[in-house]
Amino acid sequence: MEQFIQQIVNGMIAGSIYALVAMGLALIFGIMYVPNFALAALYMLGAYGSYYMIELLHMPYFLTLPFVMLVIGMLGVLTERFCFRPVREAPHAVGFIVALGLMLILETGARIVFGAESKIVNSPYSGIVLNMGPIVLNLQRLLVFVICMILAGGCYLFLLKTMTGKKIRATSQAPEAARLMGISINRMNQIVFFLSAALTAAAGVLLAPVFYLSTAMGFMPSIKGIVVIVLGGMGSITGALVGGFVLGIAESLGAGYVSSEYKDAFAFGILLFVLLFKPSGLFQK
Amino acid sequence: MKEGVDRVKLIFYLLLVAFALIFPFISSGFGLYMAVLVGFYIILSMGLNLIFGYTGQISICHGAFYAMGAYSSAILMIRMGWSFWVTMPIGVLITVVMAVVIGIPMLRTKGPYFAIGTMSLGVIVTMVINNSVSLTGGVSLPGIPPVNPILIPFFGKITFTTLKPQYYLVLVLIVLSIFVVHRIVHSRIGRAFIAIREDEEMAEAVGINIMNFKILSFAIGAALAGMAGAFYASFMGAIDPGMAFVFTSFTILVMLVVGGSGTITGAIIGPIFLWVIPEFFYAAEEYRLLLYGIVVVLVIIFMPHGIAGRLRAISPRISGLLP
Repeated sequence: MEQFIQQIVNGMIAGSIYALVAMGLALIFGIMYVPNFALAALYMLGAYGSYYMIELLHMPYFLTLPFVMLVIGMLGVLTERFCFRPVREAPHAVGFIVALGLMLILETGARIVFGAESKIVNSPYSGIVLNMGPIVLNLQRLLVFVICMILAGGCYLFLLKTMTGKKIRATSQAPEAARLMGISINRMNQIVFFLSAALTAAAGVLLAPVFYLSTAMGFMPSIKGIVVIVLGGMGSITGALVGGFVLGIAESLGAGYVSSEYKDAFAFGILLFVLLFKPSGLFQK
Repeated sequence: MKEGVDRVKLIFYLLLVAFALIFPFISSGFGLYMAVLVGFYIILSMGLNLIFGYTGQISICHGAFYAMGAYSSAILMIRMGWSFWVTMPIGVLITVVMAVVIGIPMLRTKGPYFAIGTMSLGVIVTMVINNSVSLTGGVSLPGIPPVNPILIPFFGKITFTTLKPQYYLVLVLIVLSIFVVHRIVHSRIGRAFIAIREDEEMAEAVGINIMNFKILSFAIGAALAGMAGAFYASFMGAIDPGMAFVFTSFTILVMLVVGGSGTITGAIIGPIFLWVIPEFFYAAEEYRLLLYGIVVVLVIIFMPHGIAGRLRAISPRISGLLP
């Protein structure tokens, strides 16, 4: 029983990361109908950004989070302006390939600039272990969960309650109508890209002390994030949030009780299973 | 007028064929080796072209079919000692069966869902190959015998242990692929594919059985990939699960898109362009990938129909030259 709770807790923590990454992907998918693979690279750049801010600017770890979110957010806006806006009207396959190409550029560019050796980010929180009853918790991981929840919750509230958030949702639901209402599609796209880049980069920063940094580190989380948004209904923010946790927990339980070798396969197995019966994902948008 | 165009076409193709035939005699060992590798990717791109270029399904599991063909042929050659000329068709058959089995549920999904589903498949296939150590050797499968010699009466034996004969073999396979794709594309089947790509609902409304045709394109595309894979296994002598990586499938897609999806020329130009250019600049492996990324983004933004598409847009005459 204790192991079960531990697995669930581990799953919730992993799930919070998936939820964050998935939200970023869902946001962009909502306006572009393309899974933005470039976010995988932004995740990695977030982690590396944190590393370099610590190494070169001697910034304390927790301070790197807001700065990295800002910088990578701006990078996201740049990608919208120069890579995705020109192909906005083109068939989705084109955007798909742009996202792919962008991911290639950013990841290999990073490998050339940063070098191929793994790097380590040290957070002052990684060493602290909490014992809460039967559960063992690493403080860093707890922080990951808490901050993910804050960011995801904040983004969610932003989209639901604020005027800009409503404009964004309007743009994704009916772009032409939104335009007629005086909403600038360009501006909305920029905001969306900023948000999703910032969220994804945050996930990268949060997870940086937990794993070694490598330029390909964003690939798996992103693919799993894509799995989550397919399961949650592409473009549905709620679906991304809930789906992220579902995946995290399913993975954790699967690794614990079924097989840890195939741990990564669970996400995809679940996806294929769902697509078999519901080719359009679990929730319609 | 027509005779003039036909003569130009004839000379153009003859020159191409001649160049392809004498290429081994004018290039170094390394250039020839590269040419064979490019050849594999040409066949892979041709297969993907049927699925993506003509039928419009974004498939990111082509690498998995490549690997299936390779591993089937390799395992049969190693374990059963069969000749390549037996294991290759079996490898293709196995790949096709897998494609149909996978395709029937997967092809019910559309667009991005299909793409993500195939991507997931790629990940799973890679993992299965990696973990089934007793069958596939896990991270690497060495010791694959080369293609068995062919005996031709009065001529002697053709052995496939050096580069030159293998180059010609890959050339033959490429010609075979071009033939197959060309015949399909210029038939009712090909037109059905294009109809599905352009407007699936309309195609269905007109009475085209889209599931059947999608599965057909998937199966034939997979067959070509499996065929390339089987020969690749014997060519390299050792294979690894990297063939099935999502990344390999990405690379094939990138080559096809840059070359020009939906055209036969594109499937040929793409791999050549993306291999030759970095080699020409003595670029290292890392820079090649960076180059791929930059090239693909630039090409897709400014030339969505790839290099072939751009060339064809210049004039109808060129369009006739480059199918």
